[in-house]
Amino acid sequence: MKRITPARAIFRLLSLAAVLAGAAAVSAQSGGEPSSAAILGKLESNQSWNAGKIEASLAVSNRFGVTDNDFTSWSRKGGDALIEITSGPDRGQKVLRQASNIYLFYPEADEVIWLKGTALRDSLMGSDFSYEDLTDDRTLMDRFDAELLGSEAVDGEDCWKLKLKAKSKKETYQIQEIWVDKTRYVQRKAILYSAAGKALRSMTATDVRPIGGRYLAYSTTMTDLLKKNTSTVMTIKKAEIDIDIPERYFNREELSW
Amino acid sequence: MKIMKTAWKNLWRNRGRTILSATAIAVSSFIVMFVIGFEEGFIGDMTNNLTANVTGDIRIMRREYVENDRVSPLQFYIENTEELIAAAESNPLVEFATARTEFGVSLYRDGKQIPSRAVGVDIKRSKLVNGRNSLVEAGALPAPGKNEILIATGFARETGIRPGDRVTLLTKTASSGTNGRTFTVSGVLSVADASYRNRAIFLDIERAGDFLRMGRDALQIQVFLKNGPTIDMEGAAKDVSRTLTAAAGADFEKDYDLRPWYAVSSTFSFFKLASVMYFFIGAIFYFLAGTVIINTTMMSVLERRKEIGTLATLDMEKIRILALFLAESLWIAVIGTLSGGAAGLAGLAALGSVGVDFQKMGGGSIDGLSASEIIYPSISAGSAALVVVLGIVVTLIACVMPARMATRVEPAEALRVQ
Repeated sequence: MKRITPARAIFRLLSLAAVLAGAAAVSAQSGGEPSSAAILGKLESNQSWNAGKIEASLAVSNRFGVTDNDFTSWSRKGGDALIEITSGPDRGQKVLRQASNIYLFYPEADEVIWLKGTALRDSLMGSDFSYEDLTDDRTLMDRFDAELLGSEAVDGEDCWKLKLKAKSKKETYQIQEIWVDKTRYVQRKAILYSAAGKALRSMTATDVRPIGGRYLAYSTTMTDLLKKNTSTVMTIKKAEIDIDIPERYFNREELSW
Repeated sequence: MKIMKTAWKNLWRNRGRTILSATAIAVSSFIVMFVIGFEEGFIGDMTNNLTANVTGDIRIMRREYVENDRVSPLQFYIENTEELIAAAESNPLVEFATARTEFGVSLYRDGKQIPSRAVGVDIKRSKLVNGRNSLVEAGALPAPGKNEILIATGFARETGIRPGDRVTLLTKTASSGTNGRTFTVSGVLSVADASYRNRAIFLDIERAGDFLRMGRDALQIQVFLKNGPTIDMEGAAKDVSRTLTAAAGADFEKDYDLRPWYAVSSTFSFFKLASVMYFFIGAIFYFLAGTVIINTTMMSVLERRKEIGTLATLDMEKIRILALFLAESLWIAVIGTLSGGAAGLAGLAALGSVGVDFQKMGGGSIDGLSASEIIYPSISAGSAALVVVLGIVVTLIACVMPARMATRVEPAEALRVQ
């Protein structure tokens, strides 16, 4: 019979510990909390579709009053999107996103405006959304490292709370906290921070409805936390997803139609 | 009179000393006259630019705009602008009133947005566009009702834009949205005011209102009085306000901010305070020059102790001895200040006709001060007289002490010296 030396005993104990730890991990995966990557993956798949059209209104409130604009938006996979203002004094203006480029069309201008640099931080239709908020079509997982912080209820709905840290210093909001509905995988709430940890914007989403096998928040409120008494409420009136949209909608040369 | 004649004769007993003393006073007088003239020319230019180009003699704006002007809230424009203008012009003090809207724009060119300022004015009535300090260097004024603009000379030079070119302007609007429109450049405008020589665009007030979605209204009304701008216009401002309240209703004073031009810019108040300081500095200059005359007077007293003693022996009162030496100082002061002052006035007249180019002296810093690139120094008759009087008074005060030394000379001491 081989003699069990102290070294051999320790090795066997460590091996047994490793096996037990692996079993525990498997057990946790199959029956416990999902990983942050899994949550984000489900969130992204809920938010993306081949092509879609939304008719919505944007109500901008600040200390000077409230202004309303209606718009229609067409979008497709890959990040292309077209927004056309359909009511109010700015009726007929269009915003086209092609990949990471933003173009503006004004009915009374001879040329299409290509937004670049700091102009991307300008407000979209006077709202608390900026053009820059439209530019990035990469997934959250591409842009951020995610950490699951646990669970928290938002408006009575149980949500996963995640902390996102930007992978690139070019990201406008270096840190984000998001609350993802556990049942519907819709973002219910988000707080967007600067690199220094200062809260810049907050977003809340309500009126979640099923559409085409996914869930969509029909009301979203964005608040600029650096200003007093300002908020923007986007209310979706009609949504169609996975529809055919002609190529010309995403063509810069066709903006003036 | 006899003392003055005697003093005059005594001056030339030591010609060199007299000339030295008078020259010191003259140099100070020249400098003070020049500096005050420069300062008055600058203030006058700023006043003219501010009233003609920005505020009018009296400025009217919505109170909410003035209280929030940091964020340029275009939605607070003057409703029924034309009616208010007509009402203002019904006041007998008012020569005329005109609408004005200044706002920020981006000029889109070659894929870049160039931030600049745009001013909507009544092209025919505006002193900024059609005044004596403006000139259409190339092209023509914008035609009424057409989307045409003037571009400032510096901006045209920077961008290469010429009359006939079409440019796209982007702006925020009074409806809290944005707008973009392509305009035709009708001409290039040269404005003396440095604030409007570079990134500035000028267009008809009606086109500006349409572009900004404020219809035929404007952000501001400039009121010009028949008597022109002065530094005491509270009465006129109240009178105009009463006229407008009668026309627009009791809420006029609650809703609108009406103020004289000097109450608009804090920079102007600062320069007015500075003008007082300049006179104070002028007094110091004269006092420094006065140290020369103190010295020469003291030397004169010491050298003429025998003469003073003799006068005392002849029963000349101490007060008359004092008066004699003060009279000598007075003559030197008068010669010095008048000659120096005259030279200063001649210099101001010469410089006032050609002007001083501030731009070449580092004029980038004068943007926003409503100052022209070229300043024409000038001095008012009152200020010139004040400079001369100041010189004489300060010099006399400085000579009191050495003159009193002469009164302490005892007759016996003078004879003993002999």
